[in-house]
Amino acid sequence: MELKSRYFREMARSAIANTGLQSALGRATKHFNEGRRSAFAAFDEKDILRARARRIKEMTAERLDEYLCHLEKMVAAAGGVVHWAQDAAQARSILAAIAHDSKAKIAIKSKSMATEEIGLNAHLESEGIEVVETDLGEFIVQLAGEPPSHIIAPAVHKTKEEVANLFCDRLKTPYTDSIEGLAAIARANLREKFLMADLGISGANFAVADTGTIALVTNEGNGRYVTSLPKVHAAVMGIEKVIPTLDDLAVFLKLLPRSATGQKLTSYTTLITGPGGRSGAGGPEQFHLVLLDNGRSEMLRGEFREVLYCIRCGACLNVCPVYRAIGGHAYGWVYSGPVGSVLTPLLMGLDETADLPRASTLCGACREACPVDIDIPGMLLKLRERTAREEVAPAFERVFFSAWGKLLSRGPTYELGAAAARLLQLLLTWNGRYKRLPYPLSRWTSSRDFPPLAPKPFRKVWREELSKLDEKGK
Amino acid sequence: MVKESRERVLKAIRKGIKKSALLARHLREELYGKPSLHAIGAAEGLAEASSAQELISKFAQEASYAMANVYRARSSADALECIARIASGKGAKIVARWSRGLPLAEMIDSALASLEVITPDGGEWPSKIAAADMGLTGADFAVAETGSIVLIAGPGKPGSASLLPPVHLALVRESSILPNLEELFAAIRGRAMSVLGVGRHINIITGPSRTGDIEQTLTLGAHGPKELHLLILPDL
Repeated sequence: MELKSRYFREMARSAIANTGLQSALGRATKHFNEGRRSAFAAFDEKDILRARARRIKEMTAERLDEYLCHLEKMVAAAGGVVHWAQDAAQARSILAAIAHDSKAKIAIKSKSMATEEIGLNAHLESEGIEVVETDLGEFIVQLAGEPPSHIIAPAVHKTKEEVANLFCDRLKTPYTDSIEGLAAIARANLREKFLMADLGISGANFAVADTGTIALVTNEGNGRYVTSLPKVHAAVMGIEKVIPTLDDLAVFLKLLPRSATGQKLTSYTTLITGPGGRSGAGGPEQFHLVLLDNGRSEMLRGEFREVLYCIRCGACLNVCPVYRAIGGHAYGWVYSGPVGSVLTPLLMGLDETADLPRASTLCGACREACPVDIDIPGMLLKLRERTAREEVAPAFERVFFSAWGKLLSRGPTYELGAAAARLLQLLLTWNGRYKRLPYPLSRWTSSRDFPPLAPKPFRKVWREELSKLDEKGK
Repeated sequence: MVKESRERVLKAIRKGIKKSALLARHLREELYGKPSLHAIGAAEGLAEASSAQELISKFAQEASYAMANVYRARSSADALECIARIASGKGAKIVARWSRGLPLAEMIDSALASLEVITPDGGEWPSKIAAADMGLTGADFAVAETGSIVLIAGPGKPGSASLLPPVHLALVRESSILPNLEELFAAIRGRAMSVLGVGRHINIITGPSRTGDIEQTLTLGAHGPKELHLLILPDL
């Protein structure tokens, strides 16, 4: 997917001005948050589970190569084929080769952020293969020619009227804005494709190394169609998604649905071990697992390793005050919200994405909501630090902060400066508060008051209290 | 080219990790040295010593919460009557049923004599399954904690029976109900994967198909069945 993060500021501004989007975001995030909170409220073991999940991810990362090799062995033993893709281009050509080998004309897809990351759809289309997104939200944004705007709810930004118009326009169906009616239209339309497709492409929420099993967590049922009806099934998965055992899977299955949608389990948790057709039950004759690196091994190396623990639940998006104000498209790429503000710069470089880690109040809500306790605010700060080191700040900033530093670091100049500021304060404040200040501070005061200096500096209070104590002591 | 990519990815990964045998052992100890979660004050208030009746009640409660319709039959006559009632209530003309792992299979055909019943063994399954009004399956396991049924695809038990028709009716034997996911995985590990060693599709089904993708408004029957009916029966 094309990186548009350099337009972040404009996109954010227009998102904030878009009242339809604002109400859609408010409604969606409220719904998800309430679901998540009530799902965890009834769940005593939440903190134990969270800590355990974190430990599992840490331990797996420590020996990622071993677990991946074991996974490969078990998938092969079950009759599947494992491919390793260093980057997006390799992943695309692996999947195109699978498509050509199976003479596929139509590929049906269930939702996969990894396939968005590598720009798979456009590539397959250019190779003459029709690609049909089957997740309702993805189906909608595909028809609209837009990227998804939320990790688990791709069409969160669309109102039902917009969807109704879209279907009417693109599918030539009679206008209905009843949500059930719209879902029924999509169901009928996609059902045809399900039965005709030669190739099914999915992601994978987890892969269990012990048994060579991938797990898909879905609600609609399209994931089941995609992975069981076509003759060939290919799953694309980031290398960080491997976990050691089925018991570990149980831990994540208890966390992911609750964090994402507030459900104990989604309607379908599908465990796939090799090509199902071989068991005589009907199903794919071929199963391919494409392991995607694309920058993840690089992240293992340093202080950003923990972003690899992300299980893509979307909880951080729903609690983030910034995401709730601007929605997913403003971030300019596949991954949005707090985790996206870390992943996008790491995967695509800071050159065009430096605004993303800056667009945060560092409130920490994301970290609290994260089922794996990832320190997103910490990583946002580290990214800002990187930017600061590499970038040259504007002249005004450099001069200002250098002078500020000199002023604050010497006692006498500090006291003098503070006294002068107090004098100025008498001139500039209204009822004891700064309501309007000249540029550039006007950018602050345009939406909130600037706090005034205390009437008595703390240093004085301290000295006075100390001397009072001394007297008492005598 | 293929082998090279594999080696390059592995090399890149190894570069990123400083392997400390001590740290690895410590982490493993911490994780697997302790008793598994379900042994410690078990999940959702279900102690190991839950009685069979408690398990069944919990299962029924959770399944209803997940929007499945739950019935209990006390005898095979009861069960057959329930199945026939659901089928006629839905105006079903074609019923697609499992030929293996389905309790009361032979008796079901007579109970549904007025309808067309297809099975995976008869040659018409591929052409008729897409038109079936109701899918009728058993359940290999059930999980009380989440109100889920577990269907393992296999000969005579295709996944399509629980996916294509708009109504899915599953017969759940009381003895197949396990307390939680951990027990489920212990049972699955022992059975489905290693024993047969071939590809397996296992679906843990919790309620009917649904979507909230349009305005976060819940709609049932997105692509899978719109209705899920669970008939709990004693082991017969």
